[in-house]
Amino acid sequence: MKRYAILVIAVILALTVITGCSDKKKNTVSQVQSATKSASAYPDASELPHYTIGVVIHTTTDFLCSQLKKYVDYLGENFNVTFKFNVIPSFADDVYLGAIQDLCSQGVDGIIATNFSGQAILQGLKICEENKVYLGIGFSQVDSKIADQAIKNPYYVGSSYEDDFNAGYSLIVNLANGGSTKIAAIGYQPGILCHDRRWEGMMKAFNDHPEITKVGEYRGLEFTKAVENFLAMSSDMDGIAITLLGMEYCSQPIASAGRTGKVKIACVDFADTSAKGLESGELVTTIGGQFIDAMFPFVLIYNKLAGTPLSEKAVEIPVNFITCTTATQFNDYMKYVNGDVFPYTAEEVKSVIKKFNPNASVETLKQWASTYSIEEVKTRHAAFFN
Amino acid sequence: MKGITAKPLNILKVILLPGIVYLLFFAVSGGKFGNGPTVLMILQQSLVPTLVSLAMCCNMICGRMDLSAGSVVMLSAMVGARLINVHNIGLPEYMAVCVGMGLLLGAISGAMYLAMRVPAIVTALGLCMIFEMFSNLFSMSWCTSISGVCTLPGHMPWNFIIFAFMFALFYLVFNHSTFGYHVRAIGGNQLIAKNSGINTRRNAFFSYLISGFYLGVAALLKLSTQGSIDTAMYMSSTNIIFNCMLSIYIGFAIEKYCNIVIGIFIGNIIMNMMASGLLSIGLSASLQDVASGAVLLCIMLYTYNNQHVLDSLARFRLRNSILRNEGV
Repeated sequence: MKRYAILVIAVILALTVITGCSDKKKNTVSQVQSATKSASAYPDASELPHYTIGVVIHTTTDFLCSQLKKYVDYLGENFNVTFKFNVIPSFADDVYLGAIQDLCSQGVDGIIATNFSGQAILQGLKICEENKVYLGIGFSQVDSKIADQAIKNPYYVGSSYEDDFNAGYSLIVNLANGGSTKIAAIGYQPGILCHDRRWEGMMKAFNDHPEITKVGEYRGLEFTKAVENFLAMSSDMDGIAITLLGMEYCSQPIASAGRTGKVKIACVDFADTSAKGLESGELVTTIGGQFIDAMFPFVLIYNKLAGTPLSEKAVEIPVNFITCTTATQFNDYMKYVNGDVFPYTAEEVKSVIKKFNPNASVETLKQWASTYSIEEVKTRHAAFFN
Repeated sequence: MKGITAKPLNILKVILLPGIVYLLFFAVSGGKFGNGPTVLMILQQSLVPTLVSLAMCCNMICGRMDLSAGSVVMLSAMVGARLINVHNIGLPEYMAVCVGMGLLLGAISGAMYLAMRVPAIVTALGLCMIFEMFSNLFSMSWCTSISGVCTLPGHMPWNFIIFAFMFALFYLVFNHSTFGYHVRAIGGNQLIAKNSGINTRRNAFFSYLISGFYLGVAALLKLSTQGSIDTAMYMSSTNIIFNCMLSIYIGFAIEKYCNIVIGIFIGNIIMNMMASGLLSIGLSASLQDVASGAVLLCIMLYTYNNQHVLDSLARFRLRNSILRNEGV
C-alpha cells in the first residue's frame, strides 16, 4: 500500500514539474486589468447581468488561439460573461452543427463560431433560431451566395474576417521581393474558407507574376513531407509559401537538406518561432494577429443581449491583418499587441456597448478593424508602456 | 537446383514491384521524379513508417489490431518535445525519454489488453483516446517544434544507422528467436499454438512491449526529422498508421518471395514512392489519396491473385496440349 502511495505521489510530482508553468505573466495581466478597472467610467463586471457565450474553435493551445482564449476570458471577466469553449476535432459542417447544438442545449445566450463559413451556416442559424441564441462568426466571411439569406435571420449578428486572399497574394510577392523566383506553394487541405482564399491569392500572384516560377503545389496535411519532396525534386527552389506555420513545418526539412538560408519561407499565422525566423532571414514574411477577431462578434452579441443592438441587420467587419517582415516588427507586435495589454482593453470595448455609451456605433467597430496595426495600438496605448 | 534458381527469381520479383512504380512515375513526371535526391528522400521518408509497421507487425500477425500505435508515437514525441522546450534536456536524455515513453506505453497497452479481456481493437481505441488526451496536455501549441542538437538523430547518416540497427534487431528477433517462432505459430492458429504449450498471454505482452520499443524509436526519428510534432486530437493519430498497415499487407502479399520483414520495408518504400510521385505530377492532395488507393488496390489485386491467374493459364495450356495430342 505504502509503495502505491509513493508511486502516486511521484507521478503527481512528475506531472506537476512537467506541466508546471509560471504565474508571473498572469500577475502582470491582472495588474494591468486592475489598473484599468480602477479608473473605469463604465459599470463594473459585478454590476452587469450574467450571460453565457459559447465559442466553437479548433484549438485553444496554439499561438493564435491561446491568445484568443486569453482575450475572450479577459473580456468575460470584465463583462460578467462566462465563455464555454467547444473545441472541435475537424472543420466538417456536421462537427460545427453538432457543436452549436451542444452549446445551445447547454443554455448559452450566444455563440461565436470561428472558421464557420460554408452552406451549413444556414442550418446553424436554424438551430440558433430554434433555441433563441445569437450567432456571430469569427475568422471568416459568410459565403456571398448565402449571405443575403443569413443576414435576414434575426439571430445572426455578423462576422469578422481578414483579407485572406491578399494575405496569400502578398506571401508570393514578398518572397519575390526578397529575391526568390522559384517558389513552392503549400496549403492546408481544401474546405476551410480562410485557407482556401489564401491559396487563391497565392495562385493569383503566380498568374500575375510570370517571372516567378511555381515549382510545385501541395494541399493536404503532410506539410513536412511535401517540403522534403519539393526540396528533393527541385535543386534550385528558393522559396516556400505556406498558408500556415511556416517555420514549424519547413525549417527542419530545409536544414536537413542543407539549404538553410537558400530557401526562404513566407507564411500566414504568427508563432513562437517567428521572431527567430525573421531574425535569421529564413522567414521573409509572416502575417497574423487575427486573435482580435473574437472581440467583434462578442460586441455585436453583447449589444443584442443587452437589448441595444448596434445594428438591426447582421454586420460584416473586415479586420486588418498584421504583416511582419522584420524581427523588430514582430517584437513590437509581441510587446504592444500580443502582450499583457490587449489591443482593445475592456474599458475600450465597453465604449462600443450602446447600453453604456449611447454614441456607440457599428462604424466605430469598423474603424477599429480597419485601422488595427502595431503602430496604431502602440500609439493608442502609449500610456500603458511609459 | 530449383532452390538456387528460385532465389534470384524471387529477388527479381520483389525488386520488380517498386521498380515498376518508380519507372511509371519517372515516365509520367517527365524526369521530375526519380533523381538521386528524390530516391534518397524516399528512403529517408520510409524509415519511420517502416519502424511503425514493424512495431505493429507481431500484433497484426496474431490478429490484434493495435490502433493506438499512432498515439504512442505522438505522445512519446510530444513528451520529448516538451522536455526539450521546458527543461532544455540534452540529446541522450531526449533519446531516452522518447524510447522510454514508447516502452512504458507499450507495457501499459499490453497490460491493459491482458487485464481487460476484451478484443484488442476495443482496448486500442480506448488507449488511443487516453494517449491523445495526454499528448494534448503535454503540447505547447498546435504544433510543438524543436531545434538544435536534438534533431541530430533525424539527420543522415544517424537516421540510417539507427534504422539499420532496429531493422536488423527485428529481423533476428522475428526470424531467429523463440518469441518470433511463437508469434508465427500463434498467427497460424492460436488454439493449436496454445495447446502445444505456447504461453499466448506472455507472447502478447512481449509483442506489445516490443511494439512500444519500436514506436518509441519511431517517435524519436519522426520528431528529429520533422523538427515538430502536431497535437493529436480525436483519433488524428490513426492517420500515422494507415499507410503503415497497408505496407504490412504488401509485406504479407509478397511474403512468398521474400522475408516479411523485408517485404514490409519494400511496402513502405512503395507507399512513399507513390506519395512523392503523385506530388511530382502535380496532383492535388485529395486526388493523390484516390490515386494512391487505386494503385494500391491494383498491386494487392495482382499480388494476391497472380498465382491464380498463372495456375489458370497453366491449366489452359495443359488442356490445349492434351486436346492437341488427342487430335493427333
